[in-house]
Amino acid sequence: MPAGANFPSLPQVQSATFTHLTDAADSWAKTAELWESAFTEVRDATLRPGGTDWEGAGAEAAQDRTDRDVVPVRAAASQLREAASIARHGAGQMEANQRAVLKAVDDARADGFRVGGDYTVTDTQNGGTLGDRVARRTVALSHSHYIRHQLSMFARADADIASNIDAATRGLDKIWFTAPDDQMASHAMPASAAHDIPLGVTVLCLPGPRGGPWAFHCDVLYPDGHTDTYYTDDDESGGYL
Amino acid sequence: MDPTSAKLVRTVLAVYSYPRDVRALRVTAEGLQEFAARCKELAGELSAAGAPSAPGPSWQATAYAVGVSFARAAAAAETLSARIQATGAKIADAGCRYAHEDSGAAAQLSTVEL
Repeated sequence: MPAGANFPSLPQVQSATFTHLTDAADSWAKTAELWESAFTEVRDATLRPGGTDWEGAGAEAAQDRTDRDVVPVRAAASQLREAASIARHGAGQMEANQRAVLKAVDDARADGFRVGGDYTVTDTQNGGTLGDRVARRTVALSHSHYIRHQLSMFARADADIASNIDAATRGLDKIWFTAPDDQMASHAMPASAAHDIPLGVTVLCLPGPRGGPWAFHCDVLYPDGHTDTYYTDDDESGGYL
Repeated sequence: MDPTSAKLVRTVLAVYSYPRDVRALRVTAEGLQEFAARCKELAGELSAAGAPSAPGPSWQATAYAVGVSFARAAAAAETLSARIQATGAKIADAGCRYAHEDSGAAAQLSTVEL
């Protein structure tokens, strides 16, 4: 009796490898580490860029932004580590299930049965009494059922591990940052053009230092309570409180 | 008040009449540019990492799930890379402004009459 269209054939199970799982596990673990270390480094560096203390509103804005950035990055790294753990354990589980299928096939062959690529079990012995043939038929069915059972376990493990990996990384590609100013303008642009002011924010501009390059120093309050600062030649005070 | 004390008071008032940012500024424009360059470097590392290995056999459900997850991780890596790059641009921008401000403030202080 064929095993079914959804099951891998015997040659497929025999030649199956699971390095895609172990390789993915290694890659994801490294990637998670890289993500966290990069954003932690940037956050820490805002305290002392170039080895000197950085204070003031600009520093506070940068420190707040990079501090907030670490949160979603840690969550994303955690997702990747979870996927890596599932993949690593999954590879071991799949190898064990593979061995169980092949052992069941070997047992049938050791009893004198032929196992086809589609797991059909046929008797290689002819002759004997009717009782002998009935007994052999019973043993063949027993082997067939056991092989199918192991094959079913193999396929179910493959599906379960796949489902768990998929669940672990779901939404990873939708990562976003809560701090404003996501759309950064090039630093080559003039400051007045580099800071778009979205609806809903409140801006308070105070005169900058006499002789400075910018006439006003503006503090921005975003609807989520986050603040930022920028410099401009125009008093852009206003808001939507 | 004797002339020396009056001169000292004028000097202190002149210095402390500057905004807090200017007085508290100890970071150097070079330090900020160096930091911005490091951000750019990290952004490159982030977008380059996480390339998928050889895919598993197509009949394995895990092979498909691994492929999908690599694609999601790659999309996330691009977002993270862009974010650090944007932070670097912001830092570089601050460095440019501080360099201007610092020279402006220094020029202003040098003209204070003592």
